[in-house]
Amino acid sequence: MLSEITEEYVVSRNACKLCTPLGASLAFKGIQGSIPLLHGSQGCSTYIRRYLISHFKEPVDVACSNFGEQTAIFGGGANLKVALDNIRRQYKPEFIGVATTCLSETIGDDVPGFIRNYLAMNNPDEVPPIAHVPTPSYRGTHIDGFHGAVKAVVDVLAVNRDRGTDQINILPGMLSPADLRYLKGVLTDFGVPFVMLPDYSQTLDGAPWTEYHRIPAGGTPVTDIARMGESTATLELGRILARQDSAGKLLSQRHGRPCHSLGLPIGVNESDTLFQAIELITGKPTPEKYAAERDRLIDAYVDGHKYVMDARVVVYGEEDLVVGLVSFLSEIGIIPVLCASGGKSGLFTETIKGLVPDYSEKGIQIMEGADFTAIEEAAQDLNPDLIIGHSKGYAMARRLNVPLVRVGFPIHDRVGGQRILHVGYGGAQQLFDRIVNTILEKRQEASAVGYSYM
Amino acid sequence: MMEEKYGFPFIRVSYFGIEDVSQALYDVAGHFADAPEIMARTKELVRREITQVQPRLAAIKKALQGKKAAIYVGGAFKAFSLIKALRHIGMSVVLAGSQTGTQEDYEVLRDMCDDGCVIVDDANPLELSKYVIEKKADLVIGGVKERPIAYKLGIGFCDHNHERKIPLAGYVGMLNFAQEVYGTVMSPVWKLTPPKVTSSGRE
Repeated sequence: MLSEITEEYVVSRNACKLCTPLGASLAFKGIQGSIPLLHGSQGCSTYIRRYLISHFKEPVDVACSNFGEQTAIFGGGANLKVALDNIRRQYKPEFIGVATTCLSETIGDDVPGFIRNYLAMNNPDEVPPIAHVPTPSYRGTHIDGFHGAVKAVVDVLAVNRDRGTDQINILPGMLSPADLRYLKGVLTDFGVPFVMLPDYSQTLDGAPWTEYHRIPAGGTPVTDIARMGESTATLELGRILARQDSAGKLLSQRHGRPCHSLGLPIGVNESDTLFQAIELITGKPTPEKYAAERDRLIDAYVDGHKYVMDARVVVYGEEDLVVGLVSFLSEIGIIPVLCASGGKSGLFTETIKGLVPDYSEKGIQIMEGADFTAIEEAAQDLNPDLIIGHSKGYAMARRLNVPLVRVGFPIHDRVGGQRILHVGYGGAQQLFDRIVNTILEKRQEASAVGYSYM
Repeated sequence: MMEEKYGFPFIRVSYFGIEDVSQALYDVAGHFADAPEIMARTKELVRREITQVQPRLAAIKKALQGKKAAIYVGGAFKAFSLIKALRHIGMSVVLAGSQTGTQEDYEVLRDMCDDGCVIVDDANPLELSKYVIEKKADLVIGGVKERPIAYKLGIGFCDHNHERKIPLAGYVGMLNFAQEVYGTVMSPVWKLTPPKVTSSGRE
């Protein structure tokens, strides 16, 4: 008897998300003297290294417990012990971040137990702190691995309970090194001491070397992370993350200090919210430099507003990045006709609808848990002027003959992915100029007249 | 000149705005009085063209109803067409002026404009800025040199000059004009610009 044929696809075609342990590895790279260790087979760390290196153009060492056929059957406890020994001997790390893989999770390895045994069998003064995050890629996306790793690090390291500092914590989320530098600049200019976790602004965007370093300089020192519980408040960025279990909430629960959950500060409105939050926490006014930067940004919005008004844009990427971009696009009059993410938090559609209350009138489509095949099928009917997202959307942009403005991660087909500034008034200025100029260029190139003024 | 020198018949027409471009076509068709089929075809053409643009124009008019415009262009003749075109999309004119208008031009302008409309001749940026703020204009129409005046004051702008890339003449031009006016007047960026200071304080 013939079974009923359904149209439902359960496969993913050209995923619009990355491996969960990739996000964890990236977060671990933002800690000083840190080595990420994947508990699984070599391909996992090879792929993640290849992905991170192509974007950041920096050495990225990711260790691996080197599963083989026998490990898959008998378990990876022995492999993890050897891996930790090898890493300690070769890299002399100040911190080891262990992320699991699909294989070790599927066979049910008790990684927390392995780590406890390892610590019990070694002199605790000689072993660097080890954090562990479960990251099977069949659950969640790279962003879940990223936030999970940050929470695991806080859980293990933020142990001090002293009080009386005016320091604040900032948990920026998965931003570019340029973004992290910008946020550090803001807090420095406010004159407020802070701990940012993670901070890969130097480890993944560093200087030339005179000799090869085992571990690149930079990152949040373990001793600083230990003091995060002393901070007067925590700023955690991401509207989706705000409604999920997170490191910021863990700090708040454990140490009784407030966690301010804000959106990624993309565009004027979300940046204003960040600056207001810092003013509230510190009691200090926004430095004149940023007020002037905001004024120049608004003047630029005015100069370019006619070229972007009602432009139709397809935007995709991590849920919180898309949410931040939609807030920015809405304030300059661009219609995000398709907002898509490979993420499946279950909060994406509702969050976008909250930002664009007239989404239905504007014909805005929202896709959660989408792959590029589905995004492209939807985009075909929407006649977009522009696509905004990372470089894995290039094939779609090329087939649709629509320009792609590159943001986020990964940027594998251009230089400078690590230098793209998305956040703050400065980031909005760069995004705005790039978007307007892409639209102007398209119009200029389509014209039969080779005009050279606007 | 061609009329004087060679005896070519001459009619003065404007191709801006649905009213004026239709009138221009009828005037030309009317000139050939001995060929009434030309007028019949012209009427059909006008009907067809207007049917095509009217739905979108009506939607734009709904959004722009009651918004105020200031017009400052090179020649007054263009201002006449613009006043009619703006009315067609629901906007009133609160300032009208030109660089080169004659006494007769300004009399026509005065007749066309609503009461309270400021009429200026050969104005400078200071005068223009004073009146567009006072009259609470939502839009300035002028040349490229007037653009920064409008933008600095947080007011929409449409340039109406020889440097344009998107045409404003004819029926498609009217639609382009309406879309451009809509795009600048209704842009959300004005929610972010600082409030304007008038003689009676901040808005």
